[in-house]
This record gives sequence, structure tokens and C-alpha cells, in this order.
Amino acid sequence: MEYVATRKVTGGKLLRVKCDVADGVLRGVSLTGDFFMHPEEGVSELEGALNGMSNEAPVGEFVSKLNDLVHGRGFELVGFNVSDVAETLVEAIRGGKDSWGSGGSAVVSADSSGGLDEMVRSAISGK
Amino acid sequence: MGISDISWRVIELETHDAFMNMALDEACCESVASGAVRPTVRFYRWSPSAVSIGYFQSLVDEIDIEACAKTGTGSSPSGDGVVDIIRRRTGGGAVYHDFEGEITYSVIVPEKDFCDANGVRLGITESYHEICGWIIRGLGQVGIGAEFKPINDIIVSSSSKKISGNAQTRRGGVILQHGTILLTVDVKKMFSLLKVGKEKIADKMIAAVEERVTSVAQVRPEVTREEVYSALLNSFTEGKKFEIGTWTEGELARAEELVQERYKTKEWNEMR
Repeated sequence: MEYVATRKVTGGKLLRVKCDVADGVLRGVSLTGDFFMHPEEGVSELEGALNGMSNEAPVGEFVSKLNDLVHGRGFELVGFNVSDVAETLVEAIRGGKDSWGSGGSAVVSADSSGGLDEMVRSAISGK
Repeated sequence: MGISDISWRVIELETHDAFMNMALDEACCESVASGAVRPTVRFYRWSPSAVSIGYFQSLVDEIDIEACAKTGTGSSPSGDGVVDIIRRRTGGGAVYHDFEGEITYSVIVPEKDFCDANGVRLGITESYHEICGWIIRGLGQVGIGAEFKPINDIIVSSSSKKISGNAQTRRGGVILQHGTILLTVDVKKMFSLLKVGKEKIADKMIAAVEERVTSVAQVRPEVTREEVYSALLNSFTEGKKFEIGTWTEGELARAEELVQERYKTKEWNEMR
């Protein structure tokens, strides 16, 4: 079963977290969205760091793991932070609804010319 | 050494398909990194029209691939009835690059050279601010007052509506920032290419987006594309050492390789 949560983080960027859980362990974690991260390839390391962690770990444990990696590797996150990732992950695996109230299914992060993602999401969600 | 000390190569407005456009950006980054060519500013258009997605976006989550395959752009000289889809090397959101509806630019410069007057390297936010300032000056020259809105947008001052989106990556010691200046906007068309539930494409939603985005045509309808481009060319080069240049044979050959090895491949475009 795939777990998904989507949230619009402070500053308007979209972050979507997908993962599977097998035997109480996170697998196949995927972070997507319209955020920025330097270097870009570092996102695979963030995903890799979360794989293998317990799905029952507290948010703080995910934050700590990601913080260690980000600081250790000198990654620069722009438009989101590790707490956003950890909280969205927990939202996904513990059955919270995603930002669009869709019960966790990936719905929309439509963007458009010039990057109108924030506007479209606002329109869809009625916010 | 500050920005005013950099000697730039400027590649004037040209048109390529999405794959070549992004490949040229990357080939240029490589040649700037190696010192084979000078830091470069380029302006370009997209034919056929295309949708680009940010590095971190999921193509299948964001884009209506079927719609892109069968949607005639109506404005593309190639007239092939296809909207290309491509993943960028930069983050950020999905962008619809209409052949008629925008001018795109790229700035490619070594990090070590992109410094303030005290020789301090510009960070990500500062460099967005610096380059977006060039766009803002250009818009000012055609009578559009605009301002930088962090992280990566430019808005028209009088309405706070977005008129330009920008994205940046830094690899191999080289900054690549590219972005679009909207000449016209067709929100309904853009929505038709994105994976928005069709039932969601309501007039109300389109109106809501139109409330937050604008274009040169909406603000100053009398201003032509040529005038906007001329203003941008002027504002990007004002006070700088530069020469109008061309791609090297090596860059063109490398770009052709990158088109085949990366930008046209499923592995790249569908990697997330």
C-alpha cells in the first residue's frame, strides 16, 4: 500500500511525500514537489535516509535524521525544510489527510506558465 | 572581482525545441565551467510549445501526457500538434512555455565570479535578487513597474500579479539561472496540459488564477515582443562588458549528445 501526503509549506511551495511500509519499516520514500534543493541529487539521499526507519518513529526522530544528513552533506534546502518533510511523512503514514482533503491520494499540484502552482492550488482548495 | 568585472557572451534570441533548449543550457554550463567560453547570457523561445517540470516534480503526477501529445499549439511554426514535455535540471514548478507567450533567458556564470562589490560570492537568494533585478529593469524600460518577490518570482508592483518565474541550479561551480517573462497568458490552455481534474477546470478556478498572474500584454498591450526583448537585452547588458556571440561547435555537438542521452529519454523525464 502506498501512503501519500501533500502539503503546501510556508512560502507556498508544494511538498508531496510517498512511501510504502513493510514490516513496520519505511520503503520507497519519494519526495516530490516544486521546491528547490542544492545540489539537486541530494534529494535521493534524503529519501534513502528515511528508508528503513520505523513507521512508528516520532516526528523528531525523522527531523533529527534528516538534519544530520543535511548539515553533514552541506545540502541547501530552499522553500522547505526538514520539519516539513518529517511532518508530511508522518501525515502520510498515520492516515492523515493530505493538504487537499483527499484522504491521501495524490490529487493536484498543477502549475502553469511562470510557475503558477501556488495560485492553482489555492484555487482548487478554495483558500 | 565583482559582477561588473565579468566579460559576458550574449547569445541573442533564438528558437529551439525543449530538448535542445535545455541541452544548450547544460552544454554551456560545462563550457563555462571549463573556461572554454565566457559567462553567458542567452535568450530563447520554444518551438513547439512545451511544458517543463521542475527537477523534483513527478511527471505523471503533474502533466496530462495524453493532452500534451494531441494538443496543437496553434502558434508553433513547426505546427506538429504536439506540446513537448521535459524535465529541467532546476527545481521549481511546471511551466507552460508557449511559443508566442514568453521570452526565456538563461544566465550561466561561475560562482566564484558572481560576487558583490566586496568580492563576496552571492548566495542563492542574493543571486536570484541580482538577476531578477535585470529583468525588473527591462520591464521598467517598457513601462512596467515590477519587483522581486522571494523566492523566485517577479510581480507587477501595481497589482502584485506574477509576471516572471525563475529557477536556479549550481553544479560544478557554475550558476545556471533561467526564467520566463510572460508576454501573454492563456490559463485555460495551461490547465488543459496539467493533471488537474477536468471537473476542476471551472471558470471560477481559471478566474482565481487570472487574478494572480499577468503578462506584458495585459499590463501594456501596446508593447511588442521586439520591444520587450530589446529592453531585456539592454537591461541584462547595461553596465557590463559583453560581446554578442554564438555557440561554439563543441557546445552544439555536446548539446546534441545531451538531447539524445538525457533530455529525450524516459529515464530522465520520468525519473520522479
